[in-house]
Formats: sequence, structure tokens, C-alpha cells
Amino acid sequence: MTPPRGQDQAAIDEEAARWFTLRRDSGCETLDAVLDDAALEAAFRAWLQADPRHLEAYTLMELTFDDILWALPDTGFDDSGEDL
Amino acid sequence: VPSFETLYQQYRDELLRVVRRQFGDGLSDPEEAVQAAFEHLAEVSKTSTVVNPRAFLHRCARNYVIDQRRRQAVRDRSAPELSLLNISAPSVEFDGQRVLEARERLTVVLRTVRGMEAKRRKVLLMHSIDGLGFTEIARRMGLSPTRIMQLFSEALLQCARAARELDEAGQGIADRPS
Repeated sequence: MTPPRGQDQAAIDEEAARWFTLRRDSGCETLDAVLDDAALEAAFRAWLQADPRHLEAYTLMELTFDDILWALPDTGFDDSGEDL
Repeated sequence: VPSFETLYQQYRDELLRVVRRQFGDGLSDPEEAVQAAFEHLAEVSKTSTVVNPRAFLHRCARNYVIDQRRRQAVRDRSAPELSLLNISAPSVEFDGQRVLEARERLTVVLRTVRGMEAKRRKVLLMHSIDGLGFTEIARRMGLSPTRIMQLFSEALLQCARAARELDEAGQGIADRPS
């Protein structure tokens, strides 16, 4: 049985997607960014620990991003042929 | 630029896990797919810089498995009796459920991306397939990095919601008494 998912779940998923995006952007720009990264990571850990559903939602974002990498054809969508 | 060894240690297990998750243990040897991906990375690294090694490795492993599967299909057609001897036959049975689930998920993701608003989709493709960072995408599209990150986040969320719906529909079926 799954508990009913309401607005709560939608809001958590949205936060999880934002965290995933923020963390993908980190560590590749300037030296300043490295300092910011530590603060970002700390804030992220705090968010994860605030509610068990946060980890579930974040894991879903990671898995979904893997799925995206694996689902999309190399050619993009200009041609009509589906790769998978 | 991280060394090849660092990349191998960092991504090997993850890649193996993802190959198994997407295609099960048997369809093609997961270790082989991972090995092929790293060999390709080493080859390409000789002449050019791979901006996003993680995305690159995933694409390589994926293409390797798809290629193996196509060859398998050709072999099966030309000599169907051989497929009985092939190791993929029992493992398909063994891992069938997982492979079916993965296929269903990938189909849903593909459909979602196809139906996506154009700008959102463009950002998603540039980041995941071309492996471009948000700053670079911002430069190319003439938008702010913040806006690009917002578009990427929306794209990911849209796919994740579609995956959730599929998951819940699947559980609904499983909950029914047989």
C-alpha cells in the first residue's frame, strides 16, 4: 500500500530537483565556488536529514537522470526514428 | 583534469550498477560494457578533452549494450537454434522483470522528453547528451545561468513525475490479488 501523495510530495520533488541541479553545477567554476561548495554541501546534508522523504525524492532524481542519459538517442529528436 | 585512474575509481561501480539496472545481468556482460566505455574514454582522451566524463561514460556503455543487442538480434534471426545455447537466454528469464521495468521507464522518459516545451528540452539535451555545463549552455542560448538551471530542474522534475506515475500504476496492478 502506498500512502496518498499530495501537495507535500509535489513540493518535496521540486526541492529535490533543485538540489540535484545545484549540486551538478558545483565544483567546476572558480576558486570561490570551491568555498561555496562546502556551504552548499552542508546545507544539502541538513535538508536530507530534515525528512526521510527528502532522501527518497533525491534518489528518484538521481535515478531519473540516469534514465534520461540512457533513454535519449544520440541524435536528438530531429529524425523520426526512435533509438530505443 | 582528473587522471584516468581517478575517473575509473570514481565511476566504475556506479556505471556497473546502472548497466545492471537498465539491462539486467545477462543481456550482455555488464563488466564488458563498462570496460568498453573506459577504453573509449582513454582513446578519445588522447586527442581531445572530455568535458563531462560521467555523461561520456554513460553514453558509451549505453551504446555498447544497444550495439550488442542489435548484433544478438541479427544472430537470432539468422540462426535461431544458436540462441538456445547463448547465455542470454536463461538470464533474460531470470532478469526479465527488471529488464521490462527498465524498458518501460525508458519509454516513459523518452515520451516525456519528446513532449517537453522546446527550451526546457534543449537545456536537458545539452546538459545530459552533450555534457555541457550550465554556464556554457547559458552562453550559447543567451540566457542567464540561473534561468538555465531553472529550466534543467523543471525538465528533470517533469521526467521524475512521469516515473512516479508509472511506478504507482505498477504498484496498483501488483496490489491486486491474483
